[in-house]
Amino acid sequence: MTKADLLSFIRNQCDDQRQREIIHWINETPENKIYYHKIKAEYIASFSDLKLSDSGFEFRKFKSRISRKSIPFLRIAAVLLLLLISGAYLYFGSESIFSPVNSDAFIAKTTQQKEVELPDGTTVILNSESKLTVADDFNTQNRIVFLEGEAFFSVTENKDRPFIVKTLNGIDVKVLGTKFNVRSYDTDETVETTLVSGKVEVYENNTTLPVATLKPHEKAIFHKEHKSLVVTTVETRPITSWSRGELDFENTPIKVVLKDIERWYDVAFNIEDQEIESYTLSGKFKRENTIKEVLEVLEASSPIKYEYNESQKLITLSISN
Amino acid sequence: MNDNGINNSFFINQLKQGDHKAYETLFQLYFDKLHHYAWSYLEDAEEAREIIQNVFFKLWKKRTDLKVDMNLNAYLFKMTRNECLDYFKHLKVKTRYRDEIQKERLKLNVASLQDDPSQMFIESELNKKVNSLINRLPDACREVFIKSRFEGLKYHEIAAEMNISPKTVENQISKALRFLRQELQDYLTLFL
Repeated sequence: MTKADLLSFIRNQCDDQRQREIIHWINETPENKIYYHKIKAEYIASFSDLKLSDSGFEFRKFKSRISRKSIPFLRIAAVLLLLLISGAYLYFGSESIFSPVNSDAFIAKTTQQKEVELPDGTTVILNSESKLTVADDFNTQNRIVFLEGEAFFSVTENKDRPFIVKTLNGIDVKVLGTKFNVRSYDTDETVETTLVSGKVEVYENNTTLPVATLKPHEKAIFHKEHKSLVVTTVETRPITSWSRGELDFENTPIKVVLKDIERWYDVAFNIEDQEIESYTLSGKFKRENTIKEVLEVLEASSPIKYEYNESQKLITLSISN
Repeated sequence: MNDNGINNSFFINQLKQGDHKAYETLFQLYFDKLHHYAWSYLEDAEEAREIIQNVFFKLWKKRTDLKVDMNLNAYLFKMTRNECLDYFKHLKVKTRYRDEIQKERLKLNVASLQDDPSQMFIESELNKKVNSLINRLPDACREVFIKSRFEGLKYHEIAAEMNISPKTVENQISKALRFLRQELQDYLTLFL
């Protein structure tokens, strides 16, 4: 066997028959095997087939993993304080506003929403299944936060320290002082930034030239797979409605609507008829509405029929005939 | 030991203290290369990525035990090698490969991973590559990069010393980080 033969085997470029021949040859004698090991090592050490990863993404994944560790401590700390100072109950019990001291992660779980006040006075409302990680050095040199999921920001103005929202999905948003919404759920196909007032710049992760500068009532939609960005003019009220405890849809694809309902009510949908997936919905409901009320409205306003298995929290949707 | 290579005591000290910038530098220098190494044996890009994430996570967890005179390259390499061997150990229990060729390929890969001479060779080549990368940084960003990451100067200190703006310092650093990842590939494809 020549070196080239072994290399094509190592790079997985041979058909089955050829692979069998080469494997047979390698296993034939110890010398052959040693030679194979040597060629494999040389192949690896040449790094010629090295693939570049999205290193920014990998590093943020690493950072989110190392900061996740602090959450159980936060909870333990809260419990201890509750035991020690009963008067603190109301403060911690409401859980609506926390002020981070060091590096912190704030999480709104399924069915929850959380309001966070940052040390610079900025307020952030986190939608269900969302996480906000505040960098160690927040408000010293810069103001950087990491968002997974969806959040509505009211940023305190500070021209010397731009406020930067980083997402794991290819988009960073830089602002001076403004109100805006970022939606970056991993399950969505897009990352959407909507500006209510002020001015924001949208960047591809870790780049220094903005790909878009938004004016109020503009929404930047970044398509994760195609890495393309489109800016459109929108009515901002429906987009930020979740932060006021409402869900407001305007010709929204049903998949997006159902995903939101799943996050708000901790239920799961099972779509029986494929056709349903092509529907778009318009409408509005409030967080105080029960899941049953939501489903009733859905059934009344569309050809969709639902079946709710309460014990499994599973909702099956089909088309009524 | 205090050199401009990766086994630099200031740099290791930054890792010990959990400095994110130091970990970022290490990511740029090693992530793709270690991933390539693990991938070559596992033949599964996603699993390999998971392994390298674990290596960095373990480094982070053990950071306070790091010795400033350690061999960082050898440490990262050995952790990756062990993680790969562990992976195959569990694979035996978990999965049975129906495909005979796949089975043979993986058997050979485990044998290669256990072959000390070839592992020593890869480890030393990896070390050479990383250090030569740092040395081959374009002049302007090399000086800034070394001052920042290996000598511990702050951006404004570097700016004052080199008579450039802090913004330029920042740009040179990010240029250096990009270079450390990509230049290697550009170079080596020339030899193919």
